[in-house]
Amino acid sequence: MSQKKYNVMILTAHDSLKVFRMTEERLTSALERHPHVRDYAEFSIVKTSTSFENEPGWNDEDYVVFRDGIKNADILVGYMFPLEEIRTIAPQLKWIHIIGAGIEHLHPLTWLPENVMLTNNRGAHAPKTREYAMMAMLMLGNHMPRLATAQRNSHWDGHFVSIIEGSTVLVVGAGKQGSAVANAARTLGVRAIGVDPDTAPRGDFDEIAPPSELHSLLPKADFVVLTLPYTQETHKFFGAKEFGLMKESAGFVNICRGKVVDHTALIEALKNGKISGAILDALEEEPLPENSPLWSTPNLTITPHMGCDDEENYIHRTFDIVMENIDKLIRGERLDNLIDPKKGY
Amino acid sequence: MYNDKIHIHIENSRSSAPVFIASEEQVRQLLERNPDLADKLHITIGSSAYDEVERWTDADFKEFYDYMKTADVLVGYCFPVENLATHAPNLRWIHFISSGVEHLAPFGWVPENITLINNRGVHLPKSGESFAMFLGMLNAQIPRLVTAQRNGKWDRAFTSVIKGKTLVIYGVGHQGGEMARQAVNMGLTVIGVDPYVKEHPYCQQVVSTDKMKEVFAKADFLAIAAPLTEETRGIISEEALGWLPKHAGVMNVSRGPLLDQEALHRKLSAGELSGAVLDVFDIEPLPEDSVLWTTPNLIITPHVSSDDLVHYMPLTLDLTIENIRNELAGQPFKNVVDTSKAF
Repeated sequence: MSQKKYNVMILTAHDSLKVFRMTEERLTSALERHPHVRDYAEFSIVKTSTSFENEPGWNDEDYVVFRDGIKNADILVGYMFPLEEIRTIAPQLKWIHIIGAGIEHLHPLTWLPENVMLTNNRGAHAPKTREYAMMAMLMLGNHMPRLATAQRNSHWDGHFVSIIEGSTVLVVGAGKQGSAVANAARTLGVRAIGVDPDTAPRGDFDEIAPPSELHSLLPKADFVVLTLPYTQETHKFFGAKEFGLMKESAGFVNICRGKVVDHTALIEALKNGKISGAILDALEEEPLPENSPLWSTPNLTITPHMGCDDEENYIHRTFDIVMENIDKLIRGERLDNLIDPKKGY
Repeated sequence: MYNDKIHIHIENSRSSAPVFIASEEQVRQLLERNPDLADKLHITIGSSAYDEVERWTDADFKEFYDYMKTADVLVGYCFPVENLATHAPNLRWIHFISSGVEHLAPFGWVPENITLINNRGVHLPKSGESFAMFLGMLNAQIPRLVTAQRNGKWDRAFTSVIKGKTLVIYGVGHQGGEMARQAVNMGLTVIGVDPYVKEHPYCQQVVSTDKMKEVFAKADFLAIAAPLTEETRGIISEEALGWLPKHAGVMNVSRGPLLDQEALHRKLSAGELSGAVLDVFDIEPLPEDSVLWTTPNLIITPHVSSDDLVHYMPLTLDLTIENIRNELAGQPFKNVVDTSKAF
């Protein structure tokens, strides 16, 4: 191929957490896994002092290195950057890959030029999500949040439960994250019912129902796991009514975005025994403020938004998604993980 | 024998958790599952106020000894052992509804010709799920995160998948073997430590106790799963815990006294181990003033990991029937206790 190579700009920050750090080392190992990509693409890692979305954010020098890099970039791999500048300062840009699954921080997508494709990182989380989901269902079945509450009160709360094999999980959102949960359920002998606008049979789901059936399915579930994108439609969509429809013995897990849940309703449901326990990996505000009532809500376990991110492998898998999509770009195929700007996910 | 039927007497303790109390309904279902034996068996259920025989009432004793006059088989946990041969002239075997039988050791009271049987294996479906959960929890640093939550602290501890990590199991009997099976299914490598077992299908290797130091150094996780005997008491000492890497997590699912729990408290407090889950303790219930309640990076579960609320007694009674069938067919019993090893 005589065509000029694609310029891939990898935008990262010096203070990025280890799990999300896009280093030379991780890039090199990705190129070793996908050696032919070197023929089509050249990579440059652009490091700013901090991530754009942080407070305080970029300094003058950070803007300089970003603008300098983006003007020649065909492909941008990053998480957040000055969105409004893209249209004017990135004439060659064809595709932006976001290294997160949720992209609500880019909403509304009006800044996105029509000829630029946007992809997200769905799928990168799958192996860790699967393990986390197995653990979370087992923890809820075994009343671990309740036992941790008892431990906090130095109370020996010796009560027994049965196995979770044969029970039912309702997975709200049957995308890649939801599919990893369904896979975990299958391993545990738990029946998985998905709720999703796309009801085509897939993966390890025993059944997938449309969102209109959510309320009739909630009373059947022993576990409810939320794995759907945050949009205007899903804003705090899971509230008092939904918790009220769950079995009193059922457990609740949120591993997608905090803003999809009405936490006041969750606290009420837990305090009044309307559900048996909950595990939250995603909170409305992160870090969760020190004065949040959630910290001490009974029968609730909080994990600080790390459950689905694999410290060692997350960026490896991210780069694999990028490399495979570069292959597709070269072959003129449709990219994986494309965002539909109209839907916003 | 009772009217030419095999007399199985089940002795409940009314102070036990419901999970350990056999019901008339469970016996009815048991006979339904075994229609061919239904008219050959006479099953009675008695109950005493407490496990401790010292607290039994006169009525408790009378009821028990009345049943023992004709009992062929006794199913229970605690009962008066003195002069058992006189009180129970027909008794041939005793099925303990627990895995551990150390509470009735030493075994000088066991009449000749009476076989002791324990409940090992009955716990497996439930304990298997618990073990998979504990492994997942230790790997995801849940003990640390729960401690952080107690302190209102956002402690974003990232972890990697468990696949490829190494679990060392002290004791690869029934429980330890199930732990190994669960771990292998999750992609772990398992090394067993056991004085009697030489190999195990789910262990990459099984080493003897003198190699403990060597294999502990390789552990990402240590599981304690051996029975309590004179040999195993205190075996996971402060020194042994010191052989583990700092990032290792520990769980005890067998009996409290195998582990020096004060030493574990010190190691966790000093950050010399990453986390632990304890289901069993030196004294149970754990006393309110125990330091363990607030030990950092420790999760306490109140000895509930292995007993299935719904299925425990039905599975126990299925084992009793299995041994009735073994006896009728002249086959060896399942789960015979070797009293020479148990204390």
